Amino acid sequence: MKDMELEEMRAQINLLKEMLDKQSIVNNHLLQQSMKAKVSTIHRQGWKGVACGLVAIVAFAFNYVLGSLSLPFVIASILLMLFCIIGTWHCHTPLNDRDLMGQDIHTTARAFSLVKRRYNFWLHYITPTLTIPWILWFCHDFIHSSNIPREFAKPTMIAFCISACIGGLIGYMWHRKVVNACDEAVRQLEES
Amino acid sequence: MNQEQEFSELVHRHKSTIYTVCYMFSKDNDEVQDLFQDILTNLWTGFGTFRGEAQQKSWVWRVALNTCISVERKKKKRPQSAQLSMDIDLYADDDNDILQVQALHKRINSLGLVDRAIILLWLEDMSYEEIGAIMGITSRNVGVKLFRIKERLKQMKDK
Repeated sequence: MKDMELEEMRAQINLLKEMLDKQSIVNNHLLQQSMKAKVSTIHRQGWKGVACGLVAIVAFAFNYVLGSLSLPFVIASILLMLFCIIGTWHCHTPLNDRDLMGQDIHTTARAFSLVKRRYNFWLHYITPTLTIPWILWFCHDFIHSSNIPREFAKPTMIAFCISACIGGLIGYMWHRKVVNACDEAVRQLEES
Repeated sequence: MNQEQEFSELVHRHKSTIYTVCYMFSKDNDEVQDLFQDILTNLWTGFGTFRGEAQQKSWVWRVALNTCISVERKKKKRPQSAQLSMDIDLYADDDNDILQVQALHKRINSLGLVDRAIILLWLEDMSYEEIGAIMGITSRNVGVKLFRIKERLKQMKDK
């Protein structure tokens, strides 16, 4: 083996040891492990939302079969759920890149920031815009439904209000979880 | 200074050596960490035996290499299963330093386990006697093996 190649290999091994001394390779590994975990947390919340949307679609269809809700309302509700499912997928697309962890730090941080921005946009603008009319339409449909006995109307409405509050709270907690994970990821990337 | 403090100092002093060996035997991030932990465990187990400064480096090398070689041999005997998690390539980088390390890894990785250990020790400027003591072979055998390893590496470079 030529001396030059030997020296080259010696230089490479010294370089590796230097990088390990500075912990740059190990820190990079730890950082990537952490980012992987954050992405996994964020996607898990998304899947929960999608699952709820699918269950809601089945529930609406079931209610239509029972005759409790009108066809236009059920169709609109199903379309709304599909829109929310697609919206959830859209919010998560920046983190779907398989090469995300191979990108530079700034690109990865931008991806997390974009997910956070999209989630906040949904919470502050899209959710109130869609939810309020839907609730009003639901109440209207419910009041004018001839298939619900009068004595069950009030308890059903109370149950609906409580469910809506609990559902809203859970949804907000999932939202906060995603936003916090994004903030934490960006903070770690900026510090590295 | 108690035993734990001495051991911590030993690990701190030879950490880059241990990691170098781990990275030369595996490119998988999780496996590297596992190898590192196994080596630390073996070092702690045998720590009471070696306290002299002169032998320490050789001893650390021996434990690290033997641990990596035996793990690699066990891996070859076990049927390989597909990994569940996506492995992130640490070396997916354009940085020149990383590319150089990658080149080293590629060259050494193509060698057999024992050859890999010998070339690493030789690159550490260890004498044939020291290499022989670590690997448990004669210094003459080290010379013969090194000659063959260099020829193989030379052919690799020429391709």
